[in-house]
Order: sequence, then structure tokens, then C-alpha cells
Amino acid sequence: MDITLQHISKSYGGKSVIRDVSLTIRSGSFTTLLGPSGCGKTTLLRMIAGLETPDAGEIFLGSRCVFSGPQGVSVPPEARGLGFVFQDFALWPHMTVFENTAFGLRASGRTEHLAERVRQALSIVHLEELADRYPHQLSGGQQQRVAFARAVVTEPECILFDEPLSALDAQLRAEMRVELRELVTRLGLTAVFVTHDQSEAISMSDRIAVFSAGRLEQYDAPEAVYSHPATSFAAHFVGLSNWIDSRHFFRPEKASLSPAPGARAFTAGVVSSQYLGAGYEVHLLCGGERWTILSPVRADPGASLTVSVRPEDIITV
Amino acid sequence: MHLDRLTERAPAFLLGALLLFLVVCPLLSVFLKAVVLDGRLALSPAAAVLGAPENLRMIANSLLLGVLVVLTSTVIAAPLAYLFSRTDMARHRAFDILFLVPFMTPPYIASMGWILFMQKRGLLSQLVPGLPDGAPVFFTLGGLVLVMSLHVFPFLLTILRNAMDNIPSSLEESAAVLGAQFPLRCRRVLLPLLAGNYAIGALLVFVKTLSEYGTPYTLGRRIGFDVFTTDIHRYAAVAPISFGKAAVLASVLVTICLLLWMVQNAITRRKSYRLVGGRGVRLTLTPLRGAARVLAWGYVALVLLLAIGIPYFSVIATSLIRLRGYGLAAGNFTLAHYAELFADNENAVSAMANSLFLGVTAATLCAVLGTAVVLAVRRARGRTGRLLEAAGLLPEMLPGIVLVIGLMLFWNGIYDVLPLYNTLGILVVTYTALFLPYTIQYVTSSFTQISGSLLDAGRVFGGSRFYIFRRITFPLLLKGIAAGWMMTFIISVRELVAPSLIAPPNTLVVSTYIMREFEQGSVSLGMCMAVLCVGLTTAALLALRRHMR
Repeated sequence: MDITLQHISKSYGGKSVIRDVSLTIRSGSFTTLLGPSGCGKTTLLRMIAGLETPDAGEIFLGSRCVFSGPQGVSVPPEARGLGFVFQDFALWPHMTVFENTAFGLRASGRTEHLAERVRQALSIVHLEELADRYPHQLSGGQQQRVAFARAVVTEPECILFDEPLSALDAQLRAEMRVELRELVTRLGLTAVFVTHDQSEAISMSDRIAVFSAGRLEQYDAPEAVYSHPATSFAAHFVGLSNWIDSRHFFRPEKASLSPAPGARAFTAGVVSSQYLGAGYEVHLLCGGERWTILSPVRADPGASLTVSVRPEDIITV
Repeated sequence: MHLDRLTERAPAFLLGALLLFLVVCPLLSVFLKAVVLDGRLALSPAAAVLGAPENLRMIANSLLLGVLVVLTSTVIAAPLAYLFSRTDMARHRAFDILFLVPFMTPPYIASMGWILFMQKRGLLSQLVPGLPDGAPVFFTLGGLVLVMSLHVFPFLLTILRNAMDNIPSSLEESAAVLGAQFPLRCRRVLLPLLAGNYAIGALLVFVKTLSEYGTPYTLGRRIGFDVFTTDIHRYAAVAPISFGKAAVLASVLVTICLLLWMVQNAITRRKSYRLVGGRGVRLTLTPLRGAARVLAWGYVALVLLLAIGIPYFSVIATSLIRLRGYGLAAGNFTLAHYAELFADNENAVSAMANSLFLGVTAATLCAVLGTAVVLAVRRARGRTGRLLEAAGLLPEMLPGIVLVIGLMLFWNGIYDVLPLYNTLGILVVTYTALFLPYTIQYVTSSFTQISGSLLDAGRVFGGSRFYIFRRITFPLLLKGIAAGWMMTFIISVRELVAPSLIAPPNTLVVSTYIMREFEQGSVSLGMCMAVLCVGLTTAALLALRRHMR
């Protein structure tokens, strides 16, 4: 089910939070809305779910219009039939895991084979054993899984994620990235995922939509966003960038400390270096810009290095 | 070593002895008076009192009144709580204060306002001459319930609203996304999560209603609706006086209240879903549009009209009317009653002087005693500390009238040793006992805000214990102490039940002056005093709220 946004805009008390955003999310894709906090990505996701109302524009789920400013259409969230995983999981503390999961089926009156369907949804996330527990008796990762099971039990075509990993600690976050992505693929869902974490976005997505201050900056595959950022904001926000001047930069892994034929060479002073196990991350100062490069050997602060970058690795925005 | 421990514990013992005289012994006196006759245990008089049909009817009345007030205040408060927690009306913070005004208004004054408004040829029939007489409708149990609910609903509103504010919007939104319509979301998500807090609020409203004296005395008596407080007052103050009967009824009342407190405590311990995680609670405010908006604001206006508009209008208008026979008419307004209050009116001036004296004295005593109790509780910890704190806080849980009866009985009994009874001194003692919990609570809350590391830092940098207290602890407590002082002063000035029972003959305070003028003197003079009393103390309360932010 394609999700189509057309000329969506929204302002709160005179402050624009979404500025004329148009975007089509392909059926079956994993699409990430990426940007710093306050860029409007969560608002946009909530608009798709019907939890916020745009000031103008249109939203289509497949061919069905769920919001239209000009035609005065606004379908409430309970009639949109989407899955949603909240940032704080939003599990009801007074219901067991089973009842939390069963809610969507009960609310829509689909109580046939209820227990079986709930068990099935819980088995997808390996939580059948914990069906009788209450949310506060679960770990953060387990709560996350319940939130997912609850969202998919009604078999929606599309599932929306609002920064679902941000409430977890770092190690769990890395595990859940892999797990969530696998589940979405296995169930053949269309997923829209909101995050401010660019590494999360790059690693999980088929497509990334980069937002800044309510505007869509770039909408492309992660590889394309990384190697061909459309705007200087996208270049800054996704990955580390070493700027040569205001329009040209290169990525850390493209720099070499040994001279290569035809490469451009820069002389830079070492500010500090950090050992990462696999190598060193060296922070440099070159012409007033701070650079980061990777190096197999330690570089001492105060030393001077020659950095070589091949012309084809220098990106222009 | 032994001596050291003695000096360490001496303050706690001294305070314990004081609280024994102020709270514990008076309370025991009530129970003893109820079941001891001529030095022997005698249960039959108590049984006779409880078996008397008029007393059984009174107990049924009280419980019925409690239930009806809980229901009515719920009906008033619940929609307001939702509107001011979940819709864009929550942005209007000014209503927080406005809705507290009815709760801050002394109930006997609000009742007087309503009586003046609704009585035969009252202010309502003067405002709208064609209207049929509203008195037969108002001077009923329904009217009593309405007036008491309009006083107490802000309390329930605050509890419900805070509870709703702690429920993240995402819990309702997730239900909506999963296909649940508004009624189902309320039934399955919002209401179950509010149930615990609501039960606590409802129980407290019930206890408050049972303990309330002002409205049943002014309005309830007119319609012949006797409750615990009015009957206890009658037995203790109106001939034929029977302290025994008063004590029996007071014992029953206090037992009911303590039982309800225990239920309340049990609920508090059991419910508490862990709602809030580390992050703050995100609330989405639904914008209200069109008809819903008009309806919502109309409802707010109606509640404010009933809870503030009518009683305040009546009290102020009556204080300004020259001749009550002419009613609300141009040219029939005057400030002369206010002038009369101060000029050649010995009763009014001495009532004000008495109230101010009592307020200042009781507030100061409470500040000293309350702070000392908190410090001693912190020092002693363990069982001694808990007992001390419980004794200090007990008056807050008891209906005021019970403690007043107890103080009457106890201090009457030790008159030969300490001749305070029948002097202004007994009022000072009574007020101090009644209002000590406020200071204890304010100072305790200041104390909990002082982190242990602040005091550790003082010690690391070489401060002696006294120096640390003087330079760190005390200045940080000062805000709480000042708040306790102010609160005690304010409620002392308004207090009605204690002076109407225990004041020496011919000694009036502000509240008893208002009551006397309302019943058999110049109603306008009484209302002038009411305006001054409410105006000053409400202003002080609002200032206090600001100060505590």
C-alpha cells in the first residue's frame, strides 16, 4: 500500500513545523523519516496515523483519501487501520501482555480465534510465555516486542514507528535494529520509521527522507544520501563530513595517509586521536575546518599529516 | 555516654509531652467520656444514644449526604478535569486559581450567600422579579448537596486532573490507532487508570463532607437536616447540654473517618501502576472547535457562576445595600455598613482584634512547634519519630469538631492545674492543635528538598553541627516555615467550629460575629465582615501559592 503525502503543511501558533511536504512511500518498503529534533518528522508520522491534523494538503493510503484540506476529509485514527509503535511503547499498565495485544482485535470486533491470533502475534516476537505478565514486569526490550506484536496482530498493511528504539539502552538498541528490520521484512509490511539517529536510518532503511525545519531536504536510498547528498544539511546530518570549502567535502574512510597518483593532498595538524580497536579515529584541523579520518597508526597531537583524497571521492553539494 | 543520649532524646520527649496535651489526651478524653460513667466502664449509655431513633436517622442523614456530595462533585469535576487536561483549554492556566476560589471560600460564608440569594424575597427574586419562588426548591436536601458540592469539587478536580496529566496521551492514542472509538478508549484505558486516584479523592470528599460543620449549620439546620457535626455541636453547646452524648457521636464519627483513611491508605499502596518512566509525560491537547468549544466554555462559565458568582455576588451586594426592604435598586447602595463596622461597634472591633491576635499567636506557636517536631522526627527516626509525626498530623485526619470537643473535655478536667479553660488561652491551644499539621507538612516538604549532599558538603568544609543548621538547614527550611505560618494565620482567622464551641462567654471572633449578625442582627454588617475576612485571607492564600511555586 503506497502512502502518498501531497503538499502537507502545518503551523502551531504562527510557527511553521511542516512546510509543503510531498512524499510517496512505496508499498513494501522500509522508509525512514530522518532529522534533528523539532524538524517535523514525528508530526508527519502522526499525521499519517491521524493523530495530528495538517493545515493543508492531502494524504492517501493506497487509493483511499484519509485527509484532504480542500475536500474537508479527515478520517480519525481509529478508522485508518494502521499499526503504530510509540516512542514510550504506550503499553496499558493495567492490562496483561495478552490483553494489550488483543486490544485491537477486540476494538474492531474481530474476536473470532482471538486467543489463537494473539498467541501467534506473540510467538512472532518470542513472548508466548509472558502473555500473563503486566508491562511493568517486562524488560525494555520485551516491552518493545509487545508493542510490535500489538501493532501487527490486526494485520495492518502498514506500520508506523515513532523513534521506537530511543527508550532502549545502547546494546539493546543495536540488537532491536536487526530484529525489527527482520520482522518487518518477514511479514511483508510497509514500514515508516522516524528517528533522529542517522546510523539507525542508514542501516535499516530502503529509503531515507531527510528533514530539516519542516522541509524535505532529500528522499533517496541510504547509499545515495550518503554518497550524493542533495543539500549541505543532508551532507552534515548523514555521516561524518570533512569540508574542504563550503561546497566540497569527503567522507573519513576516503582519506589516505599515503600519497596516491592524481590525488589531492592536504596538510593538516593533529588535534587528538582515539583508539577504536580496529584502528584510530584522528581529529585534524585543516584551514580552520575540523576533519575526522581513520588511520591504522596512532597520530600524536601537534604532529602534521598529509591527507590524500582522490578527486572522485570529493563530493560537491 | 548515658547523659549524652539523654540530651539527645530530651527534645523528642518534651515535644511528645506537648503533643500529648494538645492532641492525644483530648482525643482519648472523647472516647473515655463516651464509655466511662462515674469512673466505671459503661457501654449501655453509649448504646442507648446510638439506638435512639433520632440519632440513627442523623447517622443515615450524614452518610446519605456524604454519598450525594461525592456523586455531585464528581459530576461537576470530571468533565472539567478532562477539558483542562486533554483539550487546548489546558493552556489557560488562570483557571487553576479561579477553580480554587470556591474551595478557599469558608463554607459558612458561601452558604450564607446562597441563602440570601434563594430565600423568599431574596436577591434572585429581586433580580428576576417574574420568577416563581425558588425557595421551596433550594431549601431541600438537594440545595444542601449542591452548595456543599460546589465547595468541595475543586479538590476532586485537582486530584483527577493531576492523575490525567500523569497518563501519557500515547496510551489513548495507541487505542485510537488500533480502532477504538472515544467511548471505548474512556472505558478501557482512561477510566481504569483513573480508578485508584478517583477512589482516593472520593473517600477524602466523603470524609470532608462528614467533617464539615459550616454549611450543615447554616443551611442544613434550616431544612431540619441534622448530621454528626450539628448534633455534636447541639449536645455540647445548647441546653440541655450532654457531653456524654456529644462524646458518643464524636467517637462514632472519628471511627468512621479513621476507617475511611485506612481504606484510602490501602488503595494508595495497592494501585499505583508504574505509569511514568524516566521521561516526562507527553500530553497532546485536542483543539476544541465549533459547538464543542461553545459547550465546553459554557459549562465552565456555568460552574463558575454557581460556585463563585452567586455566593460572592450575594455577600457583596448585601454588604452594600442600605435598606434591605428596598432590595437591589439604584440609590439603595451605601458603604455606610463598612464605616459602621469600625466606628462605635465594640463587638465588631473586638472580634477582629481577637481573630488577629489568635491568628498571629497560633501561627507563631505552630511555626515553632511544627518545625521542632519535624526536626525531632528527622533526628529520632525509628518508632519514636513515627509516633511523634503521627501525633502531630493526627488533627488533620480528624473532623475538627471532635478534637475541639476533646480539648473542651480534657482542659476542663485539668482546670485546677492549668486554668486556661474559659479564657482566650484555650482558643490559642485549640487553634495550635488543629492547625499544627499544616506547618509540619510544609516544613517536611521543604526538608525533603534538601539533599543529604548539601549537609555533607557543609561538614566537609568544616562546619559544626549548629553552624550547618544555622547557615544551611534553617535558611532552606524558612520558606516552608513561612508558608506554614501564613496558612495557619489564614485558617485561624476563618475558623468557625472551635470558637463557636469553646470561646469564653461574650468573646466573639470574626466567624462567630458574622454568624451572630447573620442570624439575629444586621445581615449587612455580617456580610461586610465576611467580605473583609474572605477578601483579605483569599488574597493572602493566592500570594502564598505564588510564594510556594
